[in-house]
Amino acid sequence: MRVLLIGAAFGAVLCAGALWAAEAPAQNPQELIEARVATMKKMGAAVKAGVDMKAPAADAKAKLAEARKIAESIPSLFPKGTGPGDPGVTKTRALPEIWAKPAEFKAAADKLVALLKTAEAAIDADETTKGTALNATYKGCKGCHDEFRGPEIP
Amino acid sequence: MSFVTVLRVVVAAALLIGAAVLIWLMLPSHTTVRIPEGLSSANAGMAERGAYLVRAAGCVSCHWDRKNKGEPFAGGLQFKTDFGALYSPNITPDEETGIGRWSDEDFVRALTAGEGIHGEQLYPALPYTSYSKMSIEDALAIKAHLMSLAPVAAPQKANELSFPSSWRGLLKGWKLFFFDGPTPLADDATRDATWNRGRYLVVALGHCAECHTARNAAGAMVAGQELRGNPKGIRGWKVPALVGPGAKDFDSWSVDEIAAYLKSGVKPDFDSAQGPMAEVIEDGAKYLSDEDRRAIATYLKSLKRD
Repeated sequence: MRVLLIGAAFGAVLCAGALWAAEAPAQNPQELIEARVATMKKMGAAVKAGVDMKAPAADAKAKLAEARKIAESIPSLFPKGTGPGDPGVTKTRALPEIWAKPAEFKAAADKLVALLKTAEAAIDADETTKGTALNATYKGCKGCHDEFRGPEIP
Repeated sequence: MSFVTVLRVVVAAALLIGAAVLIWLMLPSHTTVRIPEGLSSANAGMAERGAYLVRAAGCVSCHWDRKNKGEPFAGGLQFKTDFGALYSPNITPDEETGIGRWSDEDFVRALTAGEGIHGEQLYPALPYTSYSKMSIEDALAIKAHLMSLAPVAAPQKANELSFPSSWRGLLKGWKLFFFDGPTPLADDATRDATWNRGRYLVVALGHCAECHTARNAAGAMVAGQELRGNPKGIRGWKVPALVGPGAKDFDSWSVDEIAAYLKSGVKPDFDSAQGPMAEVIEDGAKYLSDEDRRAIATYLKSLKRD
């Protein structure tokens, strides 16, 4: 009888725990990660369209501005609980360094924002300045990926 | 003859054959390397030519323990394989710990036949399975460049392999099954110069198949699966298929996009190269000429897509 009671008590605690855990995050972490990946892809596409030397100036600027707005939101796309090993996370290439070194992570994102601003301002400049600024945007992507994104196969 | 006598003869024969095989595996081998008259790594211009070829052949990525602050070309990088850990050797011209005392024949033999200066078998972590298709002249130019570097004293780190793979002699048998020996690529007369150059860069120097191909239980590239991707990945990084039905993603890349990727590391969707492929680009492909990068792309796109 005592065993049964202890078992029931344990069961109750487990159920309560599960309920509490289910209620805590506003969104399923894995869904949030999928959305984050889609946002990153959208930003990549916007940068690509924005750095096209043949694109009309207005279009290029609009695309670079769109990319910059996404870049500004990067730190907010990585809330706590959406990293590798967190409950509910089945797949992410985000590295734990994002949460271990938040200042560095923000600095890397800020660098991308700055590069995109420079690129936007250089659209009306001469070909060389424009070319250099547009090429440099890629360093913003790479800078973050090299430090904070891991391999596909963990 | 009685049954016992027959049995004795059979057992004796088996032991003799076994002993003969063992002795054969233990004997050093010096594959004949015929360097054409007048060709030498000491010739004028060879070192400059080699500086470019070293980029194309991706030597430094593996012969450099950069994470532990090693010197370029001084080796020491750890390779984790299914058989244990291997460490790359020092290929600077240091006489004691590098290749300073190697002859031209020694160098060509190592690169194209997978044999060390004492006739020992080299592990195929050195991609001689691809470099064997290199021309002797290019191999010597690579040596000329390496010999022009500042010597670095960096002793070989001991490999951490378990028996039997720790026994180099076994590789002699491995080679019977998985290696054809030095077989320099001859141009295909039915194709143009760009395609032939691209094939040479991909197959011989670039040794792309070494990573982009699945390996069998013996650690050899699976025949007929070249460039069809390596499902096990390299150091955790996916190694996509460049040909075949699994290459859907790569199929969407144009020749221009492939060439641009090899220069900048920017993928067509503006993602960035990472992992081993980022090293291939950063240490090698980005230093190649635009023509050579286009040749690589042209050759890759010409391969069977089904």
